[in-house]
Amino acid sequence: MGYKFLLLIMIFALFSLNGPGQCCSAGNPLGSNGINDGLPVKEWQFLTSYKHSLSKNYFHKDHQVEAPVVEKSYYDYQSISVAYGILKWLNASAEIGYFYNKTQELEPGQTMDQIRAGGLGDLALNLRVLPVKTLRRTSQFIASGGIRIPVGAFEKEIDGVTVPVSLQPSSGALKINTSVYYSMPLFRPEFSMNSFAFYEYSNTIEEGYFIYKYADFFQYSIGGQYVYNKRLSILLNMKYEFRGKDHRENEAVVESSGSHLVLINPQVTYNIKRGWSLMVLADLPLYKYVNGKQLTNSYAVQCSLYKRITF
Amino acid sequence: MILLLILMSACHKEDKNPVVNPSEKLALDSLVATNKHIVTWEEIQVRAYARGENLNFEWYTNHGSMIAVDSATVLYWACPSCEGLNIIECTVSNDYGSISDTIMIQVDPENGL
Repeated sequence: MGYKFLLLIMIFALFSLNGPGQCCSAGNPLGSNGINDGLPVKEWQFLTSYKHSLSKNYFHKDHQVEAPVVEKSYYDYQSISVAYGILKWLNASAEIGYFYNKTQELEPGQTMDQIRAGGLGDLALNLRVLPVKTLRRTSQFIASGGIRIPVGAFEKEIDGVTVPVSLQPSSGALKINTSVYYSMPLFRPEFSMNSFAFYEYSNTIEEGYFIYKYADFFQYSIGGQYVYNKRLSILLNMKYEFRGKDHRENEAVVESSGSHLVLINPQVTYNIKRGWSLMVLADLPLYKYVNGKQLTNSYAVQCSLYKRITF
Repeated sequence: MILLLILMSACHKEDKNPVVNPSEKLALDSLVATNKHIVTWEEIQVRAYARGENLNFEWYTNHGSMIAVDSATVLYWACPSCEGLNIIECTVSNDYGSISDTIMIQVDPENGL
């Protein structure tokens, strides 16, 4: 049964490789790091994650269009996070990351081949409330709230020229978010379904001449998990993401901003030994509708290593 | 009569004021763009005309992309999400201080989209 489930993920992934997705933007990747369940009291979780994302097609509404100058955009990002079960019903976590690069490759003939920046991203702090008693592999309901603080680099430059905002490692904006997560067993103990909703609000950035407000972001995912054995579990989510239109100075609407996205998110977790786990996941766009004309994401892959220990 | 004398005196003083020349140590005379009204993806060059020794140029824009052509010139373009009235700022500095100037570039949508 596990092999069938894995095969299903691979088929979905194969069909989705050419799909559209979210655009590159300033600051850290959005949404969950792939681990949404709660921690028992006095348990620590240390996690490091590496993420690569590529955006190379411009879209207008739901179809691809040609655009000059920028050939593709990609980033490589590593985060570290620590989470702790403070009380039976309360977890806290902190995460910070570093962009090894955020790169725009330009068409041949430009004076430069690429515009590239890198540096420290934003700091995320999060509190998770677990109002329903949490035992792994049974029902969980987790509500959480968090904040992203723009501690990272927002004024990177090359040869005296400030790089575009979309390539800055920090978003430059203070953001608050809230999410709810629910999982429950389905049919058999090794099967479970989960649902995750995430909302993020961004304040207005006022940095010199740059006055900008990122629109609200909403993400909803629903999926199923299959625990093949003590070591291996497989998860497949369908995600929907919505972002409204951004605003710049004088409340002017940025027409080429905001989107509706549908993505598939396969995820495999392998529990190694002594509390160490390895997780690989991907975000593969299936459908996208963008306002105006925007650079779209082709795929994002993430590999995480984490350890849970109780003190 | 007294008022007339005061006025004449004032005019006389104004005539004596020396013409203030911009500093030869550091001056940013102008920022010149090849075009100040463009459409998305259209590339323009913006050049800073500055005087002084050991000049250091720093370029900033609130929306759009720039790459250096040489230290005094940048290539500028804007993607669709950067449509609007955008600011390019150049700061020139050396041992005597720094001086800035801005230029506004209007970016309109490309035809057909």
